[in-house]
Amino acid sequence: MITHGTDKKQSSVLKSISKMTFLPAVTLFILFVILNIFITRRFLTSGFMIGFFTANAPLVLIAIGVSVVLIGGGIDISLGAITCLVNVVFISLVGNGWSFGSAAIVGLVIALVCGVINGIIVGFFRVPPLLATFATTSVFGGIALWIMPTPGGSAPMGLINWYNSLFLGLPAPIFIIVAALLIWVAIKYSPIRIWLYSMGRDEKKAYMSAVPVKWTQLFMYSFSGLLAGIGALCLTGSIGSGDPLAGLPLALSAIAACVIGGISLSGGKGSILGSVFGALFLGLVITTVLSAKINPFYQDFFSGVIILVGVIGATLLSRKFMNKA
Amino acid sequence: MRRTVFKVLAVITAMVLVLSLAACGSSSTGTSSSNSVSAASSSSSTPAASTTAKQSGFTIGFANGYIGNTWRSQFVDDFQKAAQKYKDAGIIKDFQVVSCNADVTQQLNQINTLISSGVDALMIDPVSATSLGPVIAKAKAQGILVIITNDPAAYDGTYAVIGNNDAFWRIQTTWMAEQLKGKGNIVEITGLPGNTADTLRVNAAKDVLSKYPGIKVLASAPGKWSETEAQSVMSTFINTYKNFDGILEQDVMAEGVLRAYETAGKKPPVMTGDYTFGFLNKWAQTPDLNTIGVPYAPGMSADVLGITIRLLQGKQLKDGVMQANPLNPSLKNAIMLDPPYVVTKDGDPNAVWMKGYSLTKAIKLDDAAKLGQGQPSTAALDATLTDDQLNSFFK
Amino acid sequence: MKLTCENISKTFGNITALKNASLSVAEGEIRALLGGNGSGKSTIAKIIGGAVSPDTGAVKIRDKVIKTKSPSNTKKHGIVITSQELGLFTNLSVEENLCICQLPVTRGLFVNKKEIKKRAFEILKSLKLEHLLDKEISELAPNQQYMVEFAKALVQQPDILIIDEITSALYREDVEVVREIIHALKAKGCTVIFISHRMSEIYSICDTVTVMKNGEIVGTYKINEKNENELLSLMTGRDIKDSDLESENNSLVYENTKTILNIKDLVLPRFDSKINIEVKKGEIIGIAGLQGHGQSEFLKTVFGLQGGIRLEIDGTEKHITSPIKAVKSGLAFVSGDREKEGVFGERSVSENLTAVNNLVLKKTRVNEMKLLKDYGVVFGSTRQQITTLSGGNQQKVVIGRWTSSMPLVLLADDPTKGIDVQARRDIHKIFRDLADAGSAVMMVSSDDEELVELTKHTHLSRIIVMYEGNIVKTLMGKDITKENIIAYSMPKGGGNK
Repeated sequence: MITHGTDKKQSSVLKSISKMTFLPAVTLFILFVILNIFITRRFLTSGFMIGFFTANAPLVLIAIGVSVVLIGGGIDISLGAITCLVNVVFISLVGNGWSFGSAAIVGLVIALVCGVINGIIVGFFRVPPLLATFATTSVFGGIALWIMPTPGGSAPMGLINWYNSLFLGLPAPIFIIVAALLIWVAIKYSPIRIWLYSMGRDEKKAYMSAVPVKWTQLFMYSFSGLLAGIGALCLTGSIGSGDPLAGLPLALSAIAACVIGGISLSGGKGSILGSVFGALFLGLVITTVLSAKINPFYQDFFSGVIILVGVIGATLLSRKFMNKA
Repeated sequence: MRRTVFKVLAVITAMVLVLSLAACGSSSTGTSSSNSVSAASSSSSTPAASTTAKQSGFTIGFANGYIGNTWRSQFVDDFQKAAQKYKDAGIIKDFQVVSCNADVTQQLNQINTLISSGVDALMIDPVSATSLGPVIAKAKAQGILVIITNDPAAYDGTYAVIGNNDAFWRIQTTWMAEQLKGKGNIVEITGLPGNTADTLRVNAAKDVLSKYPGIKVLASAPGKWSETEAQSVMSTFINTYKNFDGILEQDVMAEGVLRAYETAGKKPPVMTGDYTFGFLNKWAQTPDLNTIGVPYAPGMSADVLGITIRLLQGKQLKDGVMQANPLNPSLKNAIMLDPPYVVTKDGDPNAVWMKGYSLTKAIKLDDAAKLGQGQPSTAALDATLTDDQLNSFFK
Repeated sequence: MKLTCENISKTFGNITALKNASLSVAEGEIRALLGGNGSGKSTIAKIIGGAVSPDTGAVKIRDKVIKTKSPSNTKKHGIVITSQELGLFTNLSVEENLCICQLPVTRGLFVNKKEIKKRAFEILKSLKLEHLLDKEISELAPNQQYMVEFAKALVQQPDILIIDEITSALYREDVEVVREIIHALKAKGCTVIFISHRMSEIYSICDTVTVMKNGEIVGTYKINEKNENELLSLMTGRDIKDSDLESENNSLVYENTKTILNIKDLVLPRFDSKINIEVKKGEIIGIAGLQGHGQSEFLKTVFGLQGGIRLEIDGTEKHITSPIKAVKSGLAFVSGDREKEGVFGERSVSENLTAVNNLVLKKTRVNEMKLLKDYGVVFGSTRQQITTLSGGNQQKVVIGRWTSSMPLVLLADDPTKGIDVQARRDIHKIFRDLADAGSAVMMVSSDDEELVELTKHTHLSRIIVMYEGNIVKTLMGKDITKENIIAYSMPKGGGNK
């Protein structure tokens, strides 16, 4: 009952930091950056950094997208397929003489439409999201294979050159990531944030509190679809061609990135920033394993161990911190 | 509380910015040309070997696109053994192998790291034939020799050293036609439709069979290089077509075909076979089985390493070694590696199907089975080219 | 506003929840809804609130039929329901929770945080809870959460307010605040439907009372028309009299009884206190005190939920490091938070009943049917999902899960929260039977009267009163009265406001 003013202030600062679910992922990221400065040759060069962000931007963007869905209590495993679809549509359109801009817009619209379809199936037809997006994965991925059965085509030189270069002194993909984060920041200040977190915690209660559950679900799947579209354009810049399968593994990697970033699969917990750093951390693990010169037969094992130990360590560390608060 | 969040955010953002700026500040170390990476098609057609090339001290990176079956294990293992030999001999300073699980993003990350680690040559077994354009352009911009191996991909300014699928299947189809003495009905189980290797094989078979008008293909269906798929296709064939004299099927599916016959309680006719020791041993124990084994040898990775080193040493390829890339016939950058062995019961080196393959050796089934002592049954009959054989590609 | 329900029926599967229920509440009237488990009072509340749609019948406001398809629909008509199943989100702040139903926006796009704060502050101030501003729900004590839930209803400026048992977890002083607010709403013409199991609250807050039984309306009365026992008789259809059991407390008996649980120097988290108590065989100990003075923490610590602890159980020293060790040492724990710490919501009645016995202790099978019958559990089949039972029946199954394993000490943390009077009496009887069989029961309750009632009829019993994590008073025999509990719960000396 009796509280001391200063104690209270100090503990509230600690408490607010401990609430930052993204802290473990950020800590891991920073630790691995430091580690790689020592073990990876030319790690801190623009050449490496461009390559790093070029390769990992699609994963980061899709992780941002799926984060919103996970926070809202859903799950979306179709984002890899949407990425594939947008990639092949974009390449096909460019191959047929469309301009970069118009092909990109069509690609993004398709991504949005895919997301809307997921949202309608989950929000309005009340199909469990795992089942719904599992099914749409086949549909979207199937269409991608139909449009382009084998890899081919090539992306506009302008896109490849810009995407694989420095822009205003930083690797260009960083700007796309920042732009995506800005979209999220805008959403964060709208009622949608509160709706998402409330639905993630308890959908029934949210419904009872007059939260527009269906519409928020429609929104979150549309948002993740759109982000997969942006991710697909990045992937196109990264691989320079169309490939109906290249994007598929992103769906699960992105969910892994979110979980590492402190997002709960049961919803209502976590932050987008955590997922961004979770995704970047996954990229760093690949580099670390390679630079540590681990036998190729054990590389998978060691990446797994690094992720596991890293996540457990960081979680324990932040929990200790939380108990102090 | 919210304000604290923003403070932490600001600190993190600042750190990322500082890191990235630091990155750009120190870009002088060997990556001067990477600010704007030019794409694949913008450079000259064939990499010109430098005349003043060094002869040893190379660093080799190998990005393998998939690991998780015996063939790939042997593939990586053969590379490592060969690379260690070169390292012991002082020809290469260092080598790195990295595998991924058919994940394009993962492979791009790996290649990026290999490039920045300063390799002289980069061997890539690509996850996807087309996903490497920008990253290969980046490698080339830094003067790295890029060799595509096993799975074909067509990039200007690179070499593609790949197994000769055409030869692999031409030999076996010719053998089949000869066994039937140019007359009879056969069924065909193909691989994965749309896959480049499969397309090459199917076309080779068509070409060979066009010279044997007496042979009719009753039916053809894809078995997707899967034992179970092949088994179900074969069962259908057995039930649908009463009389056929031969089965054209590709490697791993042979076990499935045999199982379909076991289930049906019948004996298989003349059929093409597999090159795993498991199959070879079964064959050796089944006297009436008439089949052939042509290895698609995983030792190819060692051969490719040998070729890579010779290219780094500035050696020139003989005229006519470079062939059209299977994915882009107008690009002549492919070196085809013929199968090292043809396994038949009698191992006749003068048979019709052996003509034209100087690096291919005909061996007897018993000798082939002996090579597999102590190996797991899923291991492939393997071989690598000798230094003399490798030198035969060069001037 | 005048609210009318006409001939409302509702069935869930083959269970009839409501049969032709009609109800009419006048503008500015405070109506109590009283009924046992499964009497349909929660169902009718949910129908009016739009959470459940009726099979037949209509809800009217000022004699106009309104749509009750969804909560957002009924909210448009000024109907707000606040229920025992908390509608709060533990991952959002108090003010976000308060305003979630109608988030104020600027430029039609962004949340107006200033406005949220302003509204939240106003409402919390009226409830004397302004210190909760800026906190997250997970930081609040259970009774504070119920107060915030109540505040969330008030923010929506209801014309018709339905309060479904939220006061059951509130302490005396909170209930007083709620009473004042309700009367202020009444003065503004707001219609209130009040569901509670605490008779004293119904008498002090409500104007009229509607008694329900088995999904039907028994009757509506002026509150002064019927006394407590008459209302109970109407609810149960039986004559209810105060039991004439006399307390047989005897200190001599007490001294000579074997100690079953010896707690030495127990330190509660958050409190700088040490607790020492010897629990006797066959004893029932009621744990009383003001809100948040360590009653629940005490039981949870004994059960090993707050880290390792050394206890002497039945003469042997045990090191309890986890609930599973506690269970294997003969302890049992029944929580008042059924949803979170009690039932396995997705599983059947049978599985819920036998979980501890079959899965943890691997003992012989429980005679499920006999136990359920003895406890008076109303159920269709042991295979039905437990959440299809009413709250009181669910809790009886949970209690049965523990009693069937014959624990040495049963720890019960406010187990009758939100449960009707009849079920509460049944649970008290279960506890007394357990004590008679040689176990001990330690029970926390937020209702002092309940503790008095429970211990009064028990052979060997006492009430301990806790204050700031310490046992400040032990009441036995004739000293066990509500007045004494209140007196010893109050802070001594100055300093605290």
